[in-house]
Amino acid sequence: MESTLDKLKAGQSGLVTAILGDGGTLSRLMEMGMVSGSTVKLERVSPFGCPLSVRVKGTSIAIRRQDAMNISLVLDPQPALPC
Amino acid sequence: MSPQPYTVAIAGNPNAGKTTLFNAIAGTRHKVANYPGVTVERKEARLRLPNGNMATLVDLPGCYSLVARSPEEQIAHDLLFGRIPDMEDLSLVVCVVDASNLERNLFLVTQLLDQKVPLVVALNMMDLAEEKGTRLDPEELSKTLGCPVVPTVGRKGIGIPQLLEAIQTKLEGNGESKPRIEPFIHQLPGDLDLPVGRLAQKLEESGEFEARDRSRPEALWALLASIDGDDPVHLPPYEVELTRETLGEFNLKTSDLRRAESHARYDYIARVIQEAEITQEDLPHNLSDRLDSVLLNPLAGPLILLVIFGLVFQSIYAWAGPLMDGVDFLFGSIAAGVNSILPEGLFRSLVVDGVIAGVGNTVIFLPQILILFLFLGILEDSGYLARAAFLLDRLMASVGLDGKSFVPLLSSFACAVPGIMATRTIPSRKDRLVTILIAPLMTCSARLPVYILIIGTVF
Repeated sequence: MESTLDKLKAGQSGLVTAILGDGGTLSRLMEMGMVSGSTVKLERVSPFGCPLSVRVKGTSIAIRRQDAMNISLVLDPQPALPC
Repeated sequence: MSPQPYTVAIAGNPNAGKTTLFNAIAGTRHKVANYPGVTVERKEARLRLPNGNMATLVDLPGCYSLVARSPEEQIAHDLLFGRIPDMEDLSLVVCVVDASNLERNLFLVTQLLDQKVPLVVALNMMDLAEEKGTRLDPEELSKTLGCPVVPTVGRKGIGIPQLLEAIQTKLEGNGESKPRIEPFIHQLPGDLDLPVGRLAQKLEESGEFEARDRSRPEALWALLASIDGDDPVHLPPYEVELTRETLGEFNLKTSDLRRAESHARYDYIARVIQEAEITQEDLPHNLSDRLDSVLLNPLAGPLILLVIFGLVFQSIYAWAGPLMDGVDFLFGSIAAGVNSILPEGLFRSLVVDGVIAGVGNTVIFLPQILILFLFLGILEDSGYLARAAFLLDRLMASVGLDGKSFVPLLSSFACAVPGIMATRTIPSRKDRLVTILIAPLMTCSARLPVYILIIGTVF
């Protein structure tokens, strides 16, 4: 299912399909491994709703919601059993 | 064996353990200076190689990529490209790699390999990597990349003799091997290869770069540097012109090229990892995961934050008081002593009211600065500062700042001097400057008595 990174729930992960827009923050994220084809997992959301903590290529990165909106992904299939 | 002056630079991602390794190699005896023209710290030490030769060891600012976006990265870039006047060309680069974050760290390594600088890879934090489930043979990685790879654990000093040995061998011109996989720069995908090839050709025609080895990486960096943006770019004017021309010819934007480069380089890194037979898992780090679930908990997180920063604030606001009084008393007694020795006159006034009072007024902030920096050091090294920034970013973003601006602003309530000094932890230059400009507007402790005086007098 197509979505964007900011719409993930904590614990959900997906496969990055595109990074839209430009700007320094997005280039930095790409250099840190946020490229199409990478798996990202939303670890947690800050108590105030922003930023998000995401895990990509073995590192946790804090990313603001407005940047996460520019990262499209395909959701990983949900586990059959709720855990 | 001629006593040749070698310069060895240590490069690497932030938090890859560069400084620990620097200290492990050079001991704690180093001198700190600034790079010419910028306030970026430059750490230098003398290094004795196993064969007795000496070399200068330079600590490069941490960077994720050679595409410069901050003054720190610009310095790293300029040094590696030999663009800093008054500094010798580098004889060798040691790239410190956090083995537990291999892919991301190989990004910089492969960029350095493109550059053809003599390179030694220090595979740091191997112990953590193994805990996280990474299995790798340094020998295989070395053969794949075509440069020496030495496993190290900087904290425990493991692998340092081997690293020095590798540096020496490489400086003597040995240790060269043909990589199993050719450098990235020579196997770009088509959408990058065409513009890079075209610009490289132009650079060669301009006469500044004869060899393909040098013109191609130069062309790639020039295309990735945002020449029309506000990032710091030190390209020579003719190169900016040629780059702009090439971008126009292919109707490309810098951001398209950056996206293509990051993507292609990570594909390339995946091939390197496969060829070197490295297997990785991302096993959860139990302790830090459990700590995070408390420290970043929606309820407990902000509470803990409040307690910790309340403590920091209390220490610089109140606990530094007696120490500051002590400093004050000390300078008062010195002034009194000098007063009784020197005859009255201009000279005494110069020494007592000028020199002693002047120095005293500055030194009096030392206790606050020392205490704040002690706390900052502990918070930063333990990783809590990053968590605090994560919690506070929303709040600070609402006034256009970064989560990391919080600590400098908080300490500015005690005193703006340590507050401004604490802004060094803010990565973005813009946010750092804004924080520096706002910090003196916080009501510092020395101003409170003045307010009380004015209020008492006027109202």
